[in-house]
Amino acid sequence: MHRISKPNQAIESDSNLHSLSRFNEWLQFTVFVGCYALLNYGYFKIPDDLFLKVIYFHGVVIVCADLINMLAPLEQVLAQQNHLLSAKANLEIVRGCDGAGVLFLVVSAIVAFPSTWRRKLIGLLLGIGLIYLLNLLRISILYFVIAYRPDWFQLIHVYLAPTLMVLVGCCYFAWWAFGATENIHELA
Amino acid sequence: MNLRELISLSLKGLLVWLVLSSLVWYFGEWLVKGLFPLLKDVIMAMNSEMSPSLYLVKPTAQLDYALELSVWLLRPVYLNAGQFIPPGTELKTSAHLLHALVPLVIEMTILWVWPVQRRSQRCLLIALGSLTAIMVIMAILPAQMLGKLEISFQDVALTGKYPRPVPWFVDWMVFCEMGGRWLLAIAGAWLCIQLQHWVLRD
Repeated sequence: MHRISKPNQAIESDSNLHSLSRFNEWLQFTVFVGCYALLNYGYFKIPDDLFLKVIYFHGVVIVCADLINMLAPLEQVLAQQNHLLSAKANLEIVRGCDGAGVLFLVVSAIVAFPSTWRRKLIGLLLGIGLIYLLNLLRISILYFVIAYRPDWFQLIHVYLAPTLMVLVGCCYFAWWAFGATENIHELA
Repeated sequence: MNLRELISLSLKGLLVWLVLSSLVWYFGEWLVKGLFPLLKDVIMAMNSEMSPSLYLVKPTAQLDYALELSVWLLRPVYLNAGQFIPPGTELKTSAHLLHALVPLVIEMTILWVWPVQRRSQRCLLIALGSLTAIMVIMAILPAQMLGKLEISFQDVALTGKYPRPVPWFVDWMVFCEMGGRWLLAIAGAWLCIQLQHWVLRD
């Protein structure tokens, strides 16, 4: 009896661990979706005027205009509210064109993933920085596209840029999570 | 997983994304045409006051196709207390074909890159992914096109008294356009992975 009960106990214990692991996965997924929904809700509570005249102007448009003028001084791009203006193009930055969707995905994934608070904080700061820089690059590239190859604009704007940004976001999360789990294993 | 494996996983992701992007670029037209009957059914279920027709058109200033929704109004659409659109009116709206296929590409890229131990697991993931990707497209695309029509109604409705109420699919469209479509693609991939574990009892 004793010999039989030991493997049975081991199997039961394995099964319990398996169920617990599945439960944790579902819990993390729920936190991920909930966090995204919460960020999305908060994003729509920010008034349009604040976005267009302050956040986009100081955080995106001025920076992109400086970047473009530095790379191509002949463009003479002007930052005007949420517009990048030049003789060749008028690129308008609107809600949704600020990389917020990818940012919310990365932030939610980091918040939901089990790790130490310190590592989560570092992951969030690096992730926000990465997506912000990527978005500045995306908008600057879109300016040149609309100025010189307007027929490519929709393809890059609605397909290439978003899918690549999500892909980079996933790779960043995998890199961060890989380090995070390695730390947990070290601690154990 | 070591750093080397992580880099190879990222490169694999990029390669899969390139292959899938080429596939939707060349064959996306046929794929969406195959989904037309289902799309029409979903549109009619969401709004029974219109008779929809779907077309693929190639705008002159664009490289990719646009999906055009043309609807005939079956009943008057009341915009506000003083204005309405009479039945028999034809209205049109459109969506970019590749934009509509973004969730499919994201979901399938994740599922092709997701580490598995056996080929059967990969096959099951891809089969489940194909089904859920279609469901995700059906959850997004009809709402996107009807939502665009509704926004044009609302632009007029708000100029008068008692504007028509905003239907639920406009909020859903805004959520999806803001990045919700990527969330749905990732959620679809995650569900496929869970289903695959459950079916193969891993």
